[in-house]
Amino acid sequence: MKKNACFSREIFLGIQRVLNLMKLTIFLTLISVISVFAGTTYSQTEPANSENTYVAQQQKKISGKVIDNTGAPLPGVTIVLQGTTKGTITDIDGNYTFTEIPENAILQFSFIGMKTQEVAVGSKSTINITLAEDAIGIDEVVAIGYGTARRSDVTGSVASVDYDEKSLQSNINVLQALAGASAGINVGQTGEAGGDPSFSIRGKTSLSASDSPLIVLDGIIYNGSMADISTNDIKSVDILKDASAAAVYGSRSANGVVLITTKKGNSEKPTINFDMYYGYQDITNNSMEVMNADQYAVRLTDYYYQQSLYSWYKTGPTSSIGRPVQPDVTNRTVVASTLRSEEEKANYIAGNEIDWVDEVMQTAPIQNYNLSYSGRTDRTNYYISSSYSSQDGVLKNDDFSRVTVRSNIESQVTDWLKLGANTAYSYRDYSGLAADLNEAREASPLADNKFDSGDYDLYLTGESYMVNPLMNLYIDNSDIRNDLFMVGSAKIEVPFVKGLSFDINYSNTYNARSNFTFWPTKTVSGSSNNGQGRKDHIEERDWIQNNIANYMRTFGDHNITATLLYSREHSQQNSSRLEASGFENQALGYNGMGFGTLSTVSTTENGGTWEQDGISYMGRASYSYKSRYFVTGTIRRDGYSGFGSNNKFANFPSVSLGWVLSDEPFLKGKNFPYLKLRTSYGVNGNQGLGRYKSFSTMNTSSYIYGSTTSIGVYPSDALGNNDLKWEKTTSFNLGLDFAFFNQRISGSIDAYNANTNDVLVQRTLPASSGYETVYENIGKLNNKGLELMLNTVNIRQNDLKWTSNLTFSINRNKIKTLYGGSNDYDIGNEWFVGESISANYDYEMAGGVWTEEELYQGKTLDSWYPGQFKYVDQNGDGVISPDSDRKVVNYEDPNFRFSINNSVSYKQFTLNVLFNAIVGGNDYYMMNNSGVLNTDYVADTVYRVNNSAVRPYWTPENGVTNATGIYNTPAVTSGIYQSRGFLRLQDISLSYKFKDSVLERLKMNSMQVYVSGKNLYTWTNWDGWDPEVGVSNIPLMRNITVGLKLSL
Amino acid sequence: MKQKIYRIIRTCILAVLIIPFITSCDNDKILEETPLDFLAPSNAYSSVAGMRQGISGILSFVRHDIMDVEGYPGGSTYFTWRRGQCSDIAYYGENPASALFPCNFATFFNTSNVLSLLCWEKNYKVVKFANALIDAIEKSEPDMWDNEAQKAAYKGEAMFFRAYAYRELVACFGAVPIIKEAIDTPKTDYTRDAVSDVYAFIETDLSYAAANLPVRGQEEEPGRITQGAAWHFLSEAYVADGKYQLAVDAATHVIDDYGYALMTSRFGSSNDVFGSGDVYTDLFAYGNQNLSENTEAIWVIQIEPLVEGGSSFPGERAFGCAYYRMGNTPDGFKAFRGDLYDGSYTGYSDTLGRPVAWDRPTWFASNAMWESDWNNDIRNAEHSIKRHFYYDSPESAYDGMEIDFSKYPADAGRDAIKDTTQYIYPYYMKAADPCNHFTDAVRAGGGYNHKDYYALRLAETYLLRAEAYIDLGETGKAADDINMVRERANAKPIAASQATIDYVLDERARELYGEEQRQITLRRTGKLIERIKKYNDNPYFPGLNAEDFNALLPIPQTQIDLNIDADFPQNPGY
Repeated sequence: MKKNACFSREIFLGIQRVLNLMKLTIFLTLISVISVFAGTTYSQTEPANSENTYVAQQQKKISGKVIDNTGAPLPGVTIVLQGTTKGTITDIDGNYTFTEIPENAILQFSFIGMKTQEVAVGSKSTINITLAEDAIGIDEVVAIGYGTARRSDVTGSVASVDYDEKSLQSNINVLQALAGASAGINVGQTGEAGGDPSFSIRGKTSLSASDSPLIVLDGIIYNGSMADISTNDIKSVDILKDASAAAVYGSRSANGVVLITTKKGNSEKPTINFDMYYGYQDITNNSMEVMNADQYAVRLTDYYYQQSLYSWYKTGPTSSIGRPVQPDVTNRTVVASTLRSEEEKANYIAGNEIDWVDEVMQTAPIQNYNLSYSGRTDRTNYYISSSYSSQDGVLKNDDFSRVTVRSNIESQVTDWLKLGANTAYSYRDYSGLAADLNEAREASPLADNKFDSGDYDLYLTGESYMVNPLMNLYIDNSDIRNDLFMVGSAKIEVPFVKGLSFDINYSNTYNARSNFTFWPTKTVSGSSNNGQGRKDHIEERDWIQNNIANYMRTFGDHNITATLLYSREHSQQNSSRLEASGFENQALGYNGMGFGTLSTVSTTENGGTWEQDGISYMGRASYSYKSRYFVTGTIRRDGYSGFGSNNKFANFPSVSLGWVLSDEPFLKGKNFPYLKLRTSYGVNGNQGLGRYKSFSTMNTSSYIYGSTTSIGVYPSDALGNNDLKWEKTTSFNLGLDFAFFNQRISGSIDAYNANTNDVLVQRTLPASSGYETVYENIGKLNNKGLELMLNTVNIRQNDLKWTSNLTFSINRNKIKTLYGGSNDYDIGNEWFVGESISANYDYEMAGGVWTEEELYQGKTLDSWYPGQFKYVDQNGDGVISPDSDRKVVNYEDPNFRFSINNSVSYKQFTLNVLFNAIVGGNDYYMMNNSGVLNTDYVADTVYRVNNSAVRPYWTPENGVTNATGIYNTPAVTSGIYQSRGFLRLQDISLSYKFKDSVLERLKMNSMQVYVSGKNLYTWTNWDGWDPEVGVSNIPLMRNITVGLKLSL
Repeated sequence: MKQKIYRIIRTCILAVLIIPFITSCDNDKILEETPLDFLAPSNAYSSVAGMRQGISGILSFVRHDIMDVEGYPGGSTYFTWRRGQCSDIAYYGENPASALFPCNFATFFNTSNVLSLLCWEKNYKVVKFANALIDAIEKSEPDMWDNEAQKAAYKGEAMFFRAYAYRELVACFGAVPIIKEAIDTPKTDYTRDAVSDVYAFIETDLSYAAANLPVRGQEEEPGRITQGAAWHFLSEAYVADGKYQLAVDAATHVIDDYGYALMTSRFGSSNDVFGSGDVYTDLFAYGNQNLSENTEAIWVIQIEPLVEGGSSFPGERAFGCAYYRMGNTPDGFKAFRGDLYDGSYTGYSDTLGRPVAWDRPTWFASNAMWESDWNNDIRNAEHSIKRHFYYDSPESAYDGMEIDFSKYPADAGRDAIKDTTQYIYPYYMKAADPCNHFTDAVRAGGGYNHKDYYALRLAETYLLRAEAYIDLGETGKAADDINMVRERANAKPIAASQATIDYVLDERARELYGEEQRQITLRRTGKLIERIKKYNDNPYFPGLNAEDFNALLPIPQTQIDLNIDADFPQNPGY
């Protein structure tokens, strides 16, 4: 396609790619060798670990013990010989031994959560160290994109989540661990086995484009699924929230950036870690209810009764004289007569009933096993792991299992060259289609469950609206996804320019999905097609080439860091679908597609074939003075193939400042151990819509002439737009990091204000154009918000330690421009200038329903009748009309979010409790829940299918005011909004760490057993499966697991 | 010297490392975007084969989204409504009080009702497709075509469909925006063009089509449009536009010029499953619509089972009664055992299919309109309108006996309305294809069959010309045309004095029940509301609460809301 694009560049990249691939291959081959030898080397040298062996080298041996300020030994402290990669770690008693140390050496002691200390060796042979706690982790290293920085040097808003702390939670997906972990990070919940939760950072910066953050895995932009990554392999996750931090990723950073770092080997002694948990899950406590047999049957009697009642109401009665009388619903024969099938009548008379929701649900197992092998030698560190996870959903047949293998190798080849290769493979199996909870909600409680019996009913009681909820269990489905992710990297420290280094890395992601399905005659589509088979193949390949130059130099009090990047990326996909129906023999299922008499091939399903390219340049420079004043500037220039030819490139600049106030003489020594002010301003982009969206496209639809097929072509529903470009978000962030009371209280506050311009609006067009929609960069949005994180050490004693973490975030968004005018609105999308994106535009409830008394007295509005909701007549014209009586009634966005995590350790026990909450109030976090709250009255579904029993429907007799009658034809209808606010006991774990004495006897490094629970209890006023999943029919799961972690 | 060499080496290494940062590239080429798996308007219609695909696309859309029912909300409502449900001839039988169908105009026809929306959207999409094709034809390279006539024929076919869409739009909504050209930028300032302008536009399109389309027998393949179809709809537009003589002339072209003739003797394959049949049932037998000996077909919608592009037709589903839901025999056994499939009885009869009772004929359509010729009109024979149904229940004493709801004990809990509007009623078999199902073996075809169906047949042209003659006051000629149709059906001829618009509408109901677009016919003749009030005996809403302003549909609210740069007035009454 782009053969002549740039010959020299292509050759150059080609060579680099080949080289990188070679390196990668070599390293992959070496992995096994190294890992085997690393182990043996260690065991061989250990007995020789005596002084005489090393006398010849005229270097000394140092030993000592590392303790914390309570006197407790600190195991796992990293001790590095400064200026080299040589290092060791302390054992379980905090003891260490370091050999081959020259006298002028400096040892660096570091441990997560402690202040790093450096000690000159000199003539000492024993060095005992007391490490001080560092509650705010200012020396912690955080990933900042195309490099790392010390936490204390960071001027942007960067949140870090340590995955070690999350290791006792039963998180199958990496994202689950982020829920409630940090302020401004919004992670949803998923009820599907192996599902990907929804995920966003701060507010919504787009109307039409995705609000998913950019994911960067081990330094590479990652387009794969988060479900491919095993949680056990993750060391830490850093989240770039503000413009300046994210600006290094320019055009794709408006929704924030998530940097995931996987583990490395860090101890000289090879370590084997084994983690496992096993448990069971069911749905969260907040379930909804459907009508039981009695309610279901009486409902029909009432339906016909109310039908005659309405006819009577329409005659304009002034008193109850002549009102139809409700049939005697206590008389089972009377009730049975209105049932729609003989089967239901028989079951009703006999008193049989079935709870279909129970029929489709199950208590499902969840399990996870992970084995890793890691360590480091003089020049190489390695981490090799494998995991197996399996999770069944709460709906029958919703199964997921995953196998992952990872190998991370890094090697210092010479003092100026470091090579690395990270390789990960994942195999995910989603085979099987879940039983249908929606169908179960609608299934008649009076139907027989004939599943798997000779007279199985595809349509319960013969009603085509009532498909058997278990039908999917007959469908044969195999859904396998393979993903291979590789990064090869080389770091060259240019020996003759101090501080200059080059990073070259190349990654390749390949994923393939095969999804095969066969619908036998017992299913809807199988029945109408005499068996239907489908084979979907999807294959995606991405590569990214990053060339990074880094310069880092300290001149006295001045520190300079500079980064330059050139990056090229390419993605491509191809997919195909083979479909067959009219099977003369269904025995072979989808493997026998050839037995179908009608076969079709599609090359556009599942995304079809596409490719896209990006080119990026980025420069970043930081300067700090005395580690007290910081300034960082970034500019990124991005090109993307998916936009119109006039708008291929865009620039994204940013600048940020930091000031450590507490280092200033006027504050020093006062009660401010640490105080740092940060501010940033910059531009981020969202390429959002992706490829080919500027084109008008053609649809195909086949016709037949006689018996000759012709593939018809006509313009699709979306109008193209050649001027499409990036959405640009300009944001301002002000942050404060603090720690006081001897660092017992620490945390940060961030406030931001972000304006998004050129917002892609999928504008709905008047239907007379023949087109339904067009994308245009015409909108403007504003987001502002406040985030607070607070960490406290409440008790710190020898045996007892209690710490708390609190996060709080609030965000408000507003549409500033839609189509250019100052008062534009888009009722179809419920968008209004000056209102939140999440506004709900509807009639305002005036409280209760019209009563018969009001009808008799002529107080009802025209064509409104008893048992219908009262709405506010906004313009007072006596008519409730869509033009004049709707308004913004509330918002779907949350009011604010908070989470509280408490961790209490007593001796060997640790209890961790995480509460997470999304709070409504003030008309926020509202959702239309009429499907659950009101018996359906609009469609024929009211009498064809079962209904919700959460609120009884209105009858003239029962005095219900919060639901309508069951037969009802209101002139207009509105949603019934309910707050989704909740407080959730999201994660709780209790663990026991075995004592050293026991471990010694077991010849183990560490061992921990725990019991852990997820989503155990939710406090909410929402009626439905769960407030967080809203109106979807995929309930949220809760689980209890027991687990074991051990290390050799 | 050594130092110098080292310096050179260093510089070289540095240079190599820096190359990636400074090499400039033809970025535009890298970022150029080329569609890989889809066509864009620019390359789709670049050959005659592409133009043919454009016609196939419109035909497919017309078949599926305008004439068929599947795949979108309100589809079944739109399908049945266009064929006369909720007019003078039928109401919704499954639940005559339903809110899903226009059973009660007072509540159904709000400004966001699904019928207005579908009728508006689907037709304007056809306008868009036609405009895109016309635009491409006009801009095409002259040497792309075999000859000028071919180019004109394709343009005529596209214009035919544009007119076909406006035909329904103007009848249902009155004044509507005329879109003459392909749209490539968003437009939100549409205004309503006068009804007379819309008809003038339709007449221009159809005149071009009638002059340039191929004549009957010369079309490239079965199902393509020929001059006859264009003349017919042109005639219809003239009638509606008050140009009666032009209407007569146009209809006469159809009747005289192309070799069309009503079928008068049996032909093709016969589907005499009820023991008898006639030429009228042969017209609707599987496979007979496309036959060259069928001189009555003017435009046939193409259907084929189990083939790509094939589709199906919900004939039983819409027009049949849902017998299998009626429950038990009077002595308590399942009334219908059904057919044996894969070792068990399905509960459905392959003869009757799996109807849902969407269209329950009114008393007028099931009885009153047949009274004068009850026994002689072949269109009213038992094999054409099935009126007698029998128990199929071997265990019951009633097995094989005719279903009679008076035999049920009082406490059987039978609901008289459901019994007669949903379970058992006179079943127009022309829409069904008894014992001839290709799909859904378990459910007697699922209510779908695979017969081609007539979008236009000569009988309608005769009745259209009759209407034009009446408008001209030439009732004798009108009676002659009506009698052409009645004669073939073995019905008694009428006298000139009987030839009125209402008689034409009655005859249309008899001849074209479920075939013609009854809503258009009744609206353009101004008879819709009058005849609904007179004939629609929906048990819950007699006369359907229709009001005079319902003669036009409400403009969809979204059209008004989204048309932000110009006022788009609603039709009066809504």
